[in-house]
Amino acid sequence: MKKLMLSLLLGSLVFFSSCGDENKDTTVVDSGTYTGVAETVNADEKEIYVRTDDDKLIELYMTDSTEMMMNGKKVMFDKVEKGQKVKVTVEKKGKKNVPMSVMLMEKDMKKDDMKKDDMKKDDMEDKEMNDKNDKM
Amino acid sequence: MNQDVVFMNEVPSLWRQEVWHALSVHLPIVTLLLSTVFCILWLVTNTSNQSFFKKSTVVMLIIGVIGAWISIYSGEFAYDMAVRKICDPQVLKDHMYWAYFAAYTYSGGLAALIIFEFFITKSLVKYLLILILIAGLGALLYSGHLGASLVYNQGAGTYRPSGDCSEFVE
Repeated sequence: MKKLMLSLLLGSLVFFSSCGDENKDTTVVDSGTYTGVAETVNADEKEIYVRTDDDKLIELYMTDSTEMMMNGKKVMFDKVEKGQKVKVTVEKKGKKNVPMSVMLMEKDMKKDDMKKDDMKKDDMEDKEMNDKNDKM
Repeated sequence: MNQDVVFMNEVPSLWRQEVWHALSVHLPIVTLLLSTVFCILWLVTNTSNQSFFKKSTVVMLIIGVIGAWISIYSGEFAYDMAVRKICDPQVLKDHMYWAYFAAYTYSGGLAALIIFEFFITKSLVKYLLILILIAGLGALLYSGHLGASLVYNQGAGTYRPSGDCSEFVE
């Protein structure tokens, strides 16, 4: 009997301590634009938790008016991935933040951009060299 | 006034998803509450009435637990819509947490009742059952209080008629 009661108690403790994402320690921030990482993506509820650069956790439920963008184009919610860098514009309404826009930053964008810049520089140098050779 | 920007409101259907929760939640509230009351009466009354209160506890608890899980299910549907409309979502989260707490506690109470009926007929199990049901009742009442504040203070799941009530004119 004691074992039964103990296991019931422990079972319920484990259950209630793991009771969902709904009770994460989130912050309601002022209206504005924030960059951060999508720490949790809840596809069923179209919801993301964004960890901002200043270590605040914002909970955002997408609405019909939320614009989701990637590379300047509108995209669907399923493009958001856990760990993705995002730039969100939110409005503070009551005790919640409403996302006005969510911009998805491409992964390793900086590296890609740097590679493209390097390639452009190489092309320019090759052209200059070729021009000089032609003149010679 | 530009006629193009005049929108006609429509009264939404009463069968929309968020209303299913209101439809399903009240029966288990009553039956679970009564199961606790009957269980206490089962403990404190004399032997001639004990059988009646015991049977009543069993019936109320079975209806209540089944109903509670149905209303949890309908509440999950309502959550998606309500959380985007209300001003303080934390109240909704607390409501949901305590509703789950009550549902699990009363389910545990039903399990304790089955154990008492078929396996261990010691009065200790009966006292344990009463404690579980009282804990469940506390969670149930608090969850109900939060649910009421969601509807009456924040308008969760409700339709707000237009200022001139034009949508009600046929």
